[in-house]
Amino acid sequence: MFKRQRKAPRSVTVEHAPDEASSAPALPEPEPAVAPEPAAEPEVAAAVAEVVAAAEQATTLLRLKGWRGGLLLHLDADAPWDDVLAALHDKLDAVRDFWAGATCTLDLGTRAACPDGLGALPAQLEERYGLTVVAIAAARDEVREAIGAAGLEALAELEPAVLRAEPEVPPPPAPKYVKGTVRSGQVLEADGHLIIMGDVNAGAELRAGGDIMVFGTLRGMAHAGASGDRGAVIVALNLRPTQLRIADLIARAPDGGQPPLSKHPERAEVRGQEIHILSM
Amino acid sequence: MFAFLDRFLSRSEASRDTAKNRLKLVLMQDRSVIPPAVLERIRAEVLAVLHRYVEIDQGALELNLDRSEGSVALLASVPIVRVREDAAQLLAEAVAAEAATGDASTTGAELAGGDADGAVEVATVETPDAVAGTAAEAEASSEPATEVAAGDAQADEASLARPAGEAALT
Amino acid sequence: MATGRVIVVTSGKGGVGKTTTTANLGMALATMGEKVALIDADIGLRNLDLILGLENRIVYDIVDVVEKRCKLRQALIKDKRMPNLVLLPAAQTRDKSAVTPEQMKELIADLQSDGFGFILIDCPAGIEQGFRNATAGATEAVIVTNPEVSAVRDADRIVGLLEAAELRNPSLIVNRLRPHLVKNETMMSVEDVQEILNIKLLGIVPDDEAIINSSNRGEPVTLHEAAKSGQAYRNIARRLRGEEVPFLQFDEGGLMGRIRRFLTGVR
Repeated sequence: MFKRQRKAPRSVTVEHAPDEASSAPALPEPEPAVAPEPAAEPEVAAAVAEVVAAAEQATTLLRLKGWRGGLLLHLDADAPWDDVLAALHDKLDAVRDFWAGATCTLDLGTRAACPDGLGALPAQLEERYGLTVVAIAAARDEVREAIGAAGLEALAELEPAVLRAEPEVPPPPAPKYVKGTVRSGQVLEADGHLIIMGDVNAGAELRAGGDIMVFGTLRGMAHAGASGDRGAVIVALNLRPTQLRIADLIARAPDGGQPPLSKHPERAEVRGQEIHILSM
Repeated sequence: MFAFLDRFLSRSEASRDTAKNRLKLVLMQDRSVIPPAVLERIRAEVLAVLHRYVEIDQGALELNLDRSEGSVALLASVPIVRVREDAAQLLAEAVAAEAATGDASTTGAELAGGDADGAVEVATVETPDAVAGTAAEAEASSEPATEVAAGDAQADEASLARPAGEAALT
Repeated sequence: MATGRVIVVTSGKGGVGKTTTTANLGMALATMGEKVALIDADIGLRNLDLILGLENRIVYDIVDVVEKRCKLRQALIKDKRMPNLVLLPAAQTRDKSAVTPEQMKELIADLQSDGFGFILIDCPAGIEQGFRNATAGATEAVIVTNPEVSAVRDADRIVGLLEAAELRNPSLIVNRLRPHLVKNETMMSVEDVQEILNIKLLGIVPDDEAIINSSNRGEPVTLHEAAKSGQAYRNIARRLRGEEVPFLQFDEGGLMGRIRRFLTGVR
């Protein structure tokens, strides 16, 4: 639960989602730690990050990067093609369902010849992972010609800036702005920040990938950083929620009634392993 | 605080009893298995039969369910405008028809006669199940076994004499 | 084999006190040492959590359980005062169609195998899917009504529907009785209601300001020794456990009562 303290630093006592989940239930065994929300996406995202990292460190056969809103697969130019293919399938198989709907560009680098079976590769990737190959890059003219002959777009070279780039961070989604009272039973969700110009009543739920700002009284449940961002904050002119969640952490109102209304807007954020409420 | 004083002075029926009676009535309808559509059809057919003998204020006809002694009764309140002149002849035909079919099992109902306002109450006292059966039969038969015998039907217009026969929906 | 009793608390009409009754019977039974699970079947309009004062603790709800986003025991909220009382809260952001009667049955079977001796289901008002869900896994039914025409009529309808659902012999709780109104004949008495509905009387709960207070605070009135309604709920809980407990007598003491009786001629 969270408690407001009159003196700075204004707050503390928080519970971890897993603790809460196990202390609230009546039955003896605490369940294994579970994120409070059915968080399919963060799980996959984490798995992908892992795969990407592993790919970058462990092998030079294959490197994955985000590029042009899709994936860029650097395939080692010197290793035997079969090994490269095996490494590719290995990595993609690790989180097989994740790729569905994504696009990718294959980079053959300075590979000397167009490998046998390259023409069939896009169809394979499409069928197996739902991954669409939009282009194949190759440094050598003859290889590009062969690629072009196979009916695929061949790129001469990739922009150096892009090649240097870290796994791409997609541009943050536009904040969602809602004017009016959010009532019990209503759920507002936003991929990015969520801004409410009005009150959020008890029984209503807010869920945002980013921050949540309520220009009014927040009495319902607010979940900021819902896809795992502990840096997200929740701000309200009057912060009187039944429950606050930031990423995987949960804080709830103290038993036995709310503390008196604060005269200032307040902000909830994660410090350490806890959600703190601070005066603004 | 003033409610009971009011009641004490006016000696009207306690609202508790009103509530109880209204409830009993409405629950009888709720519990009865006659769907409104069938009730409407019964109404129409009863009306058709009665119409042969008397002129009826059709708009004011009421058909309700009532209960007595644990069984449900179908009560019809039929305001009569005037008795038809050929009623006696029709009656003779009806009696003849009854004799022909030999069906004498028209019990369980009576034609309550002679209210001052000229209303006739046709009541069939049946259990809910039997009433449902009635409805089903009425539905099945294009010529329902509805019989009305009005006895000395040519008596005073305003009031029918005590019923000599029975009206039944069986 | 599962032996826990599964009792649905229902009424047809809304606002007669189903949720308060469920909360109080659950609390009273738990106080008597029973292991009790309360299920809020009023999906979309959850309130049992509020009456019990557990609204801040909800992380998962019944829909999360049936849609397998969490395990049943993760969604059960243990009462802070009474550890052998748990609540399975309804979802507030979904509707009745989020759960099917089959899923309710499964859920109840799971609770039974977890050793709950009493599983009380707070049924939503109405006779639609919420009612069908709430009654699906129940083996007994308690009908809550008020001594008031619309509530009694709806209760009668519910008796019929319960019979159709093979839930025979429901018992009756007459809630919000106002003895002085019965005395001066402006309210139907328990006997009147019982005569009309003709089902077994389980208890009589007087209209009591203490209930409003306790709802406001999220503390079931049965926790308060002094409240007459709390006493009534405890008696009902004892009857549910099979004890013979005489029905409360609501005598109207005091000067006003005597004057009223004098004026109205009621002895």
